[in-house]
Amino acid sequence: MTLFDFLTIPLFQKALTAAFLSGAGLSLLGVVILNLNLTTIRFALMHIALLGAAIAMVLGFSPLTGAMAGIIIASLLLGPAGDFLNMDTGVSGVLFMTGSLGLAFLIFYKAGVPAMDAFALFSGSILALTALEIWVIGGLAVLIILIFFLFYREIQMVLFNQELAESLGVPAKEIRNALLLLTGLAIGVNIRMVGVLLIDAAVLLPAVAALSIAKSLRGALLLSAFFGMVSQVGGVAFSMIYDCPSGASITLAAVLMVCLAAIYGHFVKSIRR
Amino acid sequence: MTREAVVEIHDLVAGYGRHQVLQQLDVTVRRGEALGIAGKNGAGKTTLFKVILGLLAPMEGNVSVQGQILNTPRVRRLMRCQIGYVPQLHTPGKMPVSVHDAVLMGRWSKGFGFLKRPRPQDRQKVIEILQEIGLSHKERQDVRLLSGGEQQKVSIGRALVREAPILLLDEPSTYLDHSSQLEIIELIRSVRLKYRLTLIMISHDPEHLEGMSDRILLLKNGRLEER
Repeated sequence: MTLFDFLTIPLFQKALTAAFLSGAGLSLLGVVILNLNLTTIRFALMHIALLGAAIAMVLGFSPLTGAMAGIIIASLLLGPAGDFLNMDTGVSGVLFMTGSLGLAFLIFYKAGVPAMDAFALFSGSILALTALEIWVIGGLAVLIILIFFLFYREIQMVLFNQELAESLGVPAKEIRNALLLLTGLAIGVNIRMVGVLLIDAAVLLPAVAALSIAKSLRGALLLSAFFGMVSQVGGVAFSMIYDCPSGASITLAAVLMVCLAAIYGHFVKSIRR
Repeated sequence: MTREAVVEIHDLVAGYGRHQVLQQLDVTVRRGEALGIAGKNGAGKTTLFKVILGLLAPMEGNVSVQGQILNTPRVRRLMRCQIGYVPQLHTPGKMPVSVHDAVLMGRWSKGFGFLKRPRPQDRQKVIEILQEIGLSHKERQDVRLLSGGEQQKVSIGRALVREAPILLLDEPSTYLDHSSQLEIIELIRSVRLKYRLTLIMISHDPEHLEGMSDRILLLKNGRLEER
């Protein structure tokens, strides 16, 4: 089958739409994760998703519902908890990560719930998305783009130097907490698309590629969205044509983007010299 | 004739949680004065700046800026427009920011129009200040690629572009090589005279404040003492 044949099949149409929306909107948050040093937050949220799934299974809900609820609650708490404990957000993320993992295993052991059902969250599939989930991804992508458009200056200052932003009168903590919530939501949504283990490819790698060549935050955001779209749509299309797992294809496409951006960056620097 | 007080602090007690960092601190800074405050790490220099900037509410005592007592969050927010803050030189992050944009940030809450987009007069002010600090030729360059001295000039430019009468400078020349230190000291002296600024500078080493300050006080055990 050619790509055009696949495009006539609703299942693949949905997958490509989700890949496009996720790439365009959700990839922007990679720039936030890298600049606010939130790389540990991703792991924290992934483990909190596991805890949420464990609690949901004990209470008789679906693991995914619990995982999403856990991620949303944790995203809201991470910033204020760091402030209260006088810790960097990245450090408080480590506390959340280890604490939630320990609690999840305790629940698995004591409640006798099948841990493997919760661990199923660690693999996702873009082909298994429902119409409602695609609407959620689309809504979140639009919300992220809108927030970056409306609060561009505030976000720029918070990402540049939070202490300085506060001294200039920017509501820095509120902006940071809002970005943390959006990051949590983006990670939660991407868990369904590529699974926990490959989430970096969807959220982080486009930003890594963008930041290696961008000259401004605006440029970094536009490039991150572009790389996100190309790697996600390209990865899904590749997986259709060559019958490969979609998550792995998206990941490799994103890795390729990072390599190409790095080569381009070196090339431009050598010309300037 | 005694000049008017621009920053007045009486019996200030401030700190974090139950821990009091500043205890019964008194100081008055008059218009046009350049005050240096030296103290060891942990003495409370940054806490004092946070209180003057209105980022930390006093536990006891009064702080007033330009005659306004900083006793409510609203007043603290409003008076922040009267202050330009030059933070300690920090390692630039991963985000690319041009020199122009880094200086433009200082116009926040002072300028900016619809959707907080900069107005032509905001950009014009940035161009004027870039000339003042000698970085016009690097306007489009990424701040991360500048030397330490140039990055400090950008910080000073950001404070100047606010058109605030008071400047707070945290270790303005400490982490720089000797030639950059001399350049920064000269720049601070010249902008102080040109814009009739009142300066409050802090450093862990009193020597770094010499040449820029009219008087230097020592911060010890939460109180200010004459040197």
